[in-house]
Amino acid sequence: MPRSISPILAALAVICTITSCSKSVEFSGELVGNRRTVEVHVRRFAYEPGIITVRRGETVVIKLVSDDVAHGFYLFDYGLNTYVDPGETRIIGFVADKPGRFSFRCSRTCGWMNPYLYGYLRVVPNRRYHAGIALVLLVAVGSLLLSVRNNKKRREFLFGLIPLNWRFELTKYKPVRKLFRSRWFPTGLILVNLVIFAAILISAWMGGVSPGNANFGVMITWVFWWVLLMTIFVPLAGRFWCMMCPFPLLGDWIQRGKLIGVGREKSWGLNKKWPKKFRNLWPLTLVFFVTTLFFGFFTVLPIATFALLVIVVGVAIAMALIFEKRTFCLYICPVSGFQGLYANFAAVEVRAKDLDVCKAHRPKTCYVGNEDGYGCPWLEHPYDMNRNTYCGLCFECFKSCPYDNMAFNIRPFGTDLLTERKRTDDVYNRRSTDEAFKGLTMVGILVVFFLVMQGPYGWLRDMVRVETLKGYWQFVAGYTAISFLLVPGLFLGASWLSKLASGIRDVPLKKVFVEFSYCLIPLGVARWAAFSVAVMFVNGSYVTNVISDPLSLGWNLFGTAEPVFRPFWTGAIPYFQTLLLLIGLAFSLEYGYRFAEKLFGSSAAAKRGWIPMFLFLVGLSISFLWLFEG
Amino acid sequence: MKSSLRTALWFSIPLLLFAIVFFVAMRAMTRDQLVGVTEEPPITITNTDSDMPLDHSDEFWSGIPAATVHLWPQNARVPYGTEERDIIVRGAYNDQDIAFLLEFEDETENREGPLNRDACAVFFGPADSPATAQMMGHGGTGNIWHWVGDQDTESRQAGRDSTWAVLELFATGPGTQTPLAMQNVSGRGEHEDGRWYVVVKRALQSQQQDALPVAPTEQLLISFSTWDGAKVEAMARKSISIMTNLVFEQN
Repeated sequence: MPRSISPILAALAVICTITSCSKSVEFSGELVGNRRTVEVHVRRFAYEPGIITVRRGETVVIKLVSDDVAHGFYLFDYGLNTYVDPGETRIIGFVADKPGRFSFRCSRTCGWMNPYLYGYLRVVPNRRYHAGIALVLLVAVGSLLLSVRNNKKRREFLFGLIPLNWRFELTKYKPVRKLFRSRWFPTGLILVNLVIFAAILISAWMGGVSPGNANFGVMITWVFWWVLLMTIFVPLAGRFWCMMCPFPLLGDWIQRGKLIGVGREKSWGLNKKWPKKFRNLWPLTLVFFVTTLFFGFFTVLPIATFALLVIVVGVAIAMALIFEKRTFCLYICPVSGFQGLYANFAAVEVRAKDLDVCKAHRPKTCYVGNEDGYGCPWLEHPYDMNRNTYCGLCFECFKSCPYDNMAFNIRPFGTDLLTERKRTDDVYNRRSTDEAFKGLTMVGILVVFFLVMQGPYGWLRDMVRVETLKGYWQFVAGYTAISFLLVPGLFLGASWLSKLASGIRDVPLKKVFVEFSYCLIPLGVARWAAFSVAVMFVNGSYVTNVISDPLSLGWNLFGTAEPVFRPFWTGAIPYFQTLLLLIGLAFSLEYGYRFAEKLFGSSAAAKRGWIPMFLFLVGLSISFLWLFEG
Repeated sequence: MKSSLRTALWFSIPLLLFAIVFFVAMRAMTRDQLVGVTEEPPITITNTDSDMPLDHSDEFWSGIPAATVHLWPQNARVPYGTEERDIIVRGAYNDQDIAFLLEFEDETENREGPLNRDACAVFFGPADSPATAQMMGHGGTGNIWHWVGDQDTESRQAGRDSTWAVLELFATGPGTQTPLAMQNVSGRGEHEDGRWYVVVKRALQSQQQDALPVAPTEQLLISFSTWDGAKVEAMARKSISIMTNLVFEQN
């Protein structure tokens, strides 16, 4: 029975894929000759219909009617932009000569959720989406062909090309090493960020409940910073942001008594230890999830951004007074959890150079500190650290190591995914359900983020913005169910099928679930990057506006203060998104098969057990491709 | 187990409290009221043989019927208005001129500008204007008589006629307000007992380019708006009335 499961699943998957491509299409409006007329009503914050489906080559006439306030209609890639006033009808005509899915968005600031007022134009046949699916399948087949090669090169080389143990030590260069040993690094960067952070707080406070499009605080935080975080910092350098984050600065200062130099050994605060049972990603997952229940407010409303940031900084200071070191960053900060988990994929690491030197060194100054540096603020053991999850890249270990034995390496992406903790006394930093759930909840969160922020469903935005209390509670219930039940449930099902297909009965299902969850990380990093790329290309022009007048005082520092909606490179967004998904999938499949080998032992069992999870990952990729382009 | 539960509660309760406070505050702050689409009664103005004084306390104005007009927070353009108000409107015309007395509540007298000044305006548009709901919809051309508190001060008025206090503007949509070459609308605003009394007056006919005749021969729409400087109302942040017909009472 187990042996027959994998081929059946594969056949089912092929049928599903073909069906999804050949689904019958319902066209919008009325077709007379070659002219299709569609009446579109726009209100805050929905187009109705939200999806316009036309055939390639048709002349499309959109009658745009505003049901409440002044709105705009900006059709990406077609270069169309028009405005409509309350009660007015505007006629927009064009030839749908480009196939694919194109977003249209309100280009006139119509209220605080204006950036999320989206609709889609589907020009069928959607060849771009079909080509994307073909590419996903190509990557999948390529990965399968690689995994059947059972030789040393495949096991020790990433994609059979890059040695997994390859490292390039950046700190072998003296200026880099000197920089990392300097007490001004990274505090100098944090101080610069503190100035920007202060400007964000002031402008967000001054912005009140006005729409965030023209607000420095909202735009720098949720367009500039967030996109930078998800497209550059996290994928390439993991917790790079933690290195320069200003949130814990005041707490550190209170604890240490010094801002730059090495101050008192004992913290001024109560120096309590965080409870053992919660030394994992669960609190971070919960805090992040609860925070995202309000993303409809704080990502667009200046005062909500202000409130959120003040709460985060306030809690960071309070926790620094109660708990030891960077407990806040480790277990509470809303953006710490996914950075930590996804840092396992990053292409950089801080590691000890020679473990024997560390073994012989007493006391471990990288952990307890000395006159040159503090003991690891992140409560890591730098002398035998082998995963990035809890390393905040603060570089204190470079300063406190008397043997200059710490290294900052460039490495192949994702090598941490294969690593187990070495220490037996380590109660928190291990592979377990907390990390598995963190990865899985990030799937559901992204789906909901995308549907609200870039999706065509006004009713969903009405729920998120608390149009009615009932609607909001339905959103909370649905969002929680998707994030904590549906996605993990499906993944548990795939894990169970993997175990069943492998024929290995003595592997606990929990172990299969946890182990395979790490192959979601590369795809997760890629998905978030793909989502964030669209945020930047569409809203980036607002950033140029707000830096010219950060405090809304009527300045025009760079001559770009006029708040005009000017999306750029929108035609390239689907290609970027497809490319990122393909890269993520390739890494997920590459590492996933190694987990199957680790779990199921024999090569034959691993291959059988790998198929359900392989199909889950391919299906997930196609689902996101559909979400982004379908 | 007991201590774990206690710790979990210590962790969850503040998180829940933060979440509730955040939710309640955000919900309260984001409830905005849109301009209602209602059938407004027309504004009727009285025909008179008398002169129409700029002094609101003159006996003339007490003989003119008053109409109460409801103002809504402006919501066609950001920044939106936030206040609902009622204003009392009296209008009259004679052979030469047309005048309005606008009376509205405002606790504080603000004559410092331009972001903190009290102000009010009257908008006239042709009856076939596409802007039927709110003042100055897209393509809705018209004239605006904009009285501004910071211009209506004794020092500014010294040696000038009273047209200094009222901007006579031509507009074809939001952001297109353009002062006419000749400023022919005179006006005077007085703040008494927490209320503004503003009189604006112009000749029925105007020969200059872009000036709309506001005369019994014309079919016109009218609307009103006010700005409260103490509430930092300026530009689009204002209260406005729904456009309605202007009826000239005939003898």
